[in-house]
Amino acid sequence: MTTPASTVERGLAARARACDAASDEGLLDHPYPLDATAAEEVNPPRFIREAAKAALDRGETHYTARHGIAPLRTKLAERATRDGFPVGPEETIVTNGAAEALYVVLQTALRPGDTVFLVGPVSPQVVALATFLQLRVERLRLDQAERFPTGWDSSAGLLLVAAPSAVTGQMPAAPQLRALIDRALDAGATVVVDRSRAWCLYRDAGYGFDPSLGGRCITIGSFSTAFSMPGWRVGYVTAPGHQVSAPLELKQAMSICTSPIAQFAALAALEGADVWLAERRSFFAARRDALLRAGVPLAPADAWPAQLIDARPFGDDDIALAAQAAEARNVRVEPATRYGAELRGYLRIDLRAPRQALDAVAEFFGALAT
Amino acid sequence: MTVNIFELMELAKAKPNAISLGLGDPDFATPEHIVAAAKAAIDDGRTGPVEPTGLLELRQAIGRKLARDNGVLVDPQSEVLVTTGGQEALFLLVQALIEPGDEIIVPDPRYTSYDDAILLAGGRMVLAPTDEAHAFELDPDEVEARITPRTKLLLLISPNNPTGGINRPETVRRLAEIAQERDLIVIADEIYEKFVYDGAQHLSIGSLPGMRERTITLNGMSKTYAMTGWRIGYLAAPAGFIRAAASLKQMVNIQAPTVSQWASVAALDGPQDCVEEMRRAYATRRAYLMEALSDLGFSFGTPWGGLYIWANVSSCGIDAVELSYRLLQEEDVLILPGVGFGERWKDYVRITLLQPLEQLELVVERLGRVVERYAVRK
Ligand SMILES: Cc1ncc(COP(=O)(O)O)c(C=O)c1O
Repeated sequence: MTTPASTVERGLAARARACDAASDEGLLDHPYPLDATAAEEVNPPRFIREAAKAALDRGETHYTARHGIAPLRTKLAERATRDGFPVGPEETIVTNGAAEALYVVLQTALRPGDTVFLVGPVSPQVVALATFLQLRVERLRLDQAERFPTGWDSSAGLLLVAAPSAVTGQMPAAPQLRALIDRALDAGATVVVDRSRAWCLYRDAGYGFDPSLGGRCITIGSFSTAFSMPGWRVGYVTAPGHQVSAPLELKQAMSICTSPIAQFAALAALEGADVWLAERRSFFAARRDALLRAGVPLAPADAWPAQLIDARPFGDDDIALAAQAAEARNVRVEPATRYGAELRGYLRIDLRAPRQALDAVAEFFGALAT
Repeated sequence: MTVNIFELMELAKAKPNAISLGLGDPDFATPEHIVAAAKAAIDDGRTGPVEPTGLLELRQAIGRKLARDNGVLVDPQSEVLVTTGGQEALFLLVQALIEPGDEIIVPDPRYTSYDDAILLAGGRMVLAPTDEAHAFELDPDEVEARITPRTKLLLLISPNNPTGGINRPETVRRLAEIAQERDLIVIADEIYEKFVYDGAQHLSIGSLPGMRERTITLNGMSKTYAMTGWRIGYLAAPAGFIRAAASLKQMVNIQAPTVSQWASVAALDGPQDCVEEMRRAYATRRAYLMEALSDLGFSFGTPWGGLYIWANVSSCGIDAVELSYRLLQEEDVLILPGVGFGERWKDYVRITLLQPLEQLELVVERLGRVVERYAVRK
């Protein structure tokens, strides 16, 4: 079926066409009866929902300041400071999720032809974004600090590192991370730490980043996963004073502000974070331990809900193995090579998946082992 | 005294309790049935992720609305994209269409978020002038005279922000002919469509024969339903474009907020009397301000639509930025100087209709005092 392209479609810019074509690739997934890769519950807990309704009752339905409501920025800044990224509320921008946060940071820090260094496995969306912005993408391992030569052209590079990783759930090893960031900063590159999953660490020992480095890093983050708020679209950027105005201007040009209904929900999330996150930690730790007991070869993870399965003992073709799981147990697991060649032989699941899907994964590996 | 717009904005931050006729944010509360729909979605657990193009129920409601109100016919499955406000809609469409060096003809003055998006994409803005004498209506001849081989897009904002100018139906028809003859893509920003006055008529260019395939219609909930904080807008355009814009949207912010999308379904499908009530209130305020500002010696083109009066203050001999600054500094009233909407508008200020009449009366009194104090009568 080919209808002649409309004038509007013919007018698409080359980079928009490329981005459209790239996005088709991910759409081939067919529905599985059981899906171990996606969250079952997608609504935030009651205390957050009640806060959103209370905001509506107060008539919080107008534009907010473009960088967000003050109490939310204050809380976010306090938390960032506590974790080793010292900033004030004026250096904090509330965004429409971490996606917008990453977009405004990449677009304002770099120009076409500049390089974004991605550390470890990353979501294909990040690569698609870099491609759309016409950036060069270089993949780095954590131990490749030497890739930042001193005397790097200061405006032309950006290091993006997720801590912990949303793909693997792993926290980069502290000494290596330190060395890499130190080197990148010295070389004049912009450093962005993606803390979207920092609320999801299993250990409750604090984040503990070195403020002498953290004070020079941009951070981005999101409420989506930690507080079951993916449909609410709240994230943030924190940036050292001289780096905050460009992303703020762009955020305004892109969306004016984030919905106050969602912002007040996020504020409630932060206020109730300790109790809620403690509950979540033990819930996911129990799920993880049950899978381990059932013989699923889980890779170590520092944070929920992403969880890798080290399936290399069963061969290194993760794509074939995922197909086999679908065939044998009707369950969807994700071949992890999607996120980077270094994950060959790994599968990926989400601990928020329905119980039956995780049980099917356990059964699949139970059968494989015998 | 010379002040610039940044100093004015700094002063505005320091005076949060001033009467604001600055932002285009309706003073009305979002109508109750819309808020109730949002709460129901929250209670029922309908807050999770939806497709990047938007909740299907909302796209269908948008499809019905466009057919009913605008005569614009679209397939909600493939020809509608829900965005995080009209702002994201304009950002996305500009990023999706403009290549470095492409020219876009834009009305002067205009809502300058378009400028930010166009410059970011490397586009070249070509200004089509509008003026007071013609109530800031776009002149098709002025548009035609500016078309070059690099012209790709024509931006129409009607009713216009900041001028309140509208393009009358015969003008819209002429612009459609030009777009077809010269093979232009038309962006129709219709975010103020519901607010037209004294019998003026809004015509959607996308409804005209031959225009569907070359028009992107942009609209949203913010102004029509007093829903600025909900952040819902939309684009209606041919499917191939919507698909590309949706992939871009997914990178930019994944989707528009779900609760706001349910509220928007209620807004579009529910009773529309609330819109007419607000329009009448704006009409009353507009009539009052037009008379009062004339009495102060200000001039303006008749604002046939929109939520603003774009007034020429040159008769009082005070620079418009200075006037705005003094009004805020000495009388606690915020209005925006014209230079915020295009460099050459040094004699103008934008005054919104977005405060109750009693407040507007106070504003006029205070404005009168500033003029009295500083006017250099010629
Ligand atoms: C002409 C025009 N288009 C689009 C917008 C964007 O508004 P929103 O993002 O709230 O829909 C505005 C806001 O003032 C506007 O004046």
